[in-house]
Amino acid sequence: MIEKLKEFLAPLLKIDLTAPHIPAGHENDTYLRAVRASPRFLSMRYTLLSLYGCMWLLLILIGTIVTVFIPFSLWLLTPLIALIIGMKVLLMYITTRIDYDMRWYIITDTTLRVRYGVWAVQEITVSFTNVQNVRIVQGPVERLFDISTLIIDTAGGGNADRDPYAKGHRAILRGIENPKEVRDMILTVLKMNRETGLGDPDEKQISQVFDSEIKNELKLIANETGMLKQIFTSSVA
Amino acid sequence: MNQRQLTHAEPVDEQEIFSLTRPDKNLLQLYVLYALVTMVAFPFVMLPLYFRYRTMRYRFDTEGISVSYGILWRKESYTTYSRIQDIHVTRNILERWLGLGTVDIQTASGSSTAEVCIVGVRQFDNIRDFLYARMRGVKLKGNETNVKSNSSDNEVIETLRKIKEDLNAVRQSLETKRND
Repeated sequence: MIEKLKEFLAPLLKIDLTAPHIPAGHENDTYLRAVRASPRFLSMRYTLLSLYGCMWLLLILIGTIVTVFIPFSLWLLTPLIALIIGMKVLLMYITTRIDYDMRWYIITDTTLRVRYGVWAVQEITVSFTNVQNVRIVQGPVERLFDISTLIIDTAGGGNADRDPYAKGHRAILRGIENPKEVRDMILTVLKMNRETGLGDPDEKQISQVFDSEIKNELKLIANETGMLKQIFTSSVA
Repeated sequence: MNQRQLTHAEPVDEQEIFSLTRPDKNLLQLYVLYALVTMVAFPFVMLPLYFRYRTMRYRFDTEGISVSYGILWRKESYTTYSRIQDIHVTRNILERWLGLGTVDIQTASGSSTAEVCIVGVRQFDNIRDFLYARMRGVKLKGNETNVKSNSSDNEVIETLRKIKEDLNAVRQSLETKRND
């Protein structure tokens, strides 16, 4: 049922349910990997939504009982309110499902790409050079469903401390089943990109070219001195 | 894990990006819709948005990007590609219906809002890939090779080469002497 509703709604929402693009130039990456949100993340959101629906149902019931006892026939409005709320909750069920399908976390050798959202589709690309820290956060409800949220911060400020889900300067991976494994994978890639993200981007490459040429020349010199030594020792003997 | 479903981005036509200076015409429609949402405040909201649309200018050059707008209070922000930290592409439902997208660029500054916003463009995917190839910490294969060592490095290598040649000459003259 929800699948059919999803198929009906997706074109209306102009949503593209296919996977996001991997950035160009990462075809043969060693660490290329796509991480998806856990099915338990979907169950968690369904459960929370059901609770929300039940809360409204209770409120409407109480409202009806109270309005029956006052002189105006206000209680006649309650079916209308119930209908509106019902439609809203149904819509939220579908968008929750679509949000689950839209969620993609793609890790390449140099970057992380996160896509999510239904009404506003967000896509964030962060290069690992700029990543400052990686955190695992788990709330009580998330613990119940055994999933975690991974927060990846980049340099820069904002209202980061007050709101853990603030948008700026961070990528958020929600509903991760194996947070430690994903974190370690990100840290492995992080360690490969060893620049701090503050220096001259070309610095390392120049010294690499330089180093290899110097090494080459020094080897040849050592070769020469070695042969010289041989000649001297043999002529002394 | 799900790798077969993934597709790779196409290479970007750079000239198309460099020639981009104005947002798409549909941006005005988007602003009208935004203003309509406020109902009574429509004229007060629409006027600044209209001027923002009329004055919005983008400039992509070889080193960075500049975005400027405003009629009374003019704003122009410029950032270099190599300082880009995060690229956000956002499309809300109205933008999707109008075929538009917003590209927000963040640098390591102290605000949580984006430093440079490219609003109302159709080529948001291409702009993202264009910026991605130039952003900090991304060195695409093929861009790496044309790095040349500077002059002082060359000097050191030159000196080492001279030492090697001298040693070689000494050895050769010794060898010929011994053979005699």
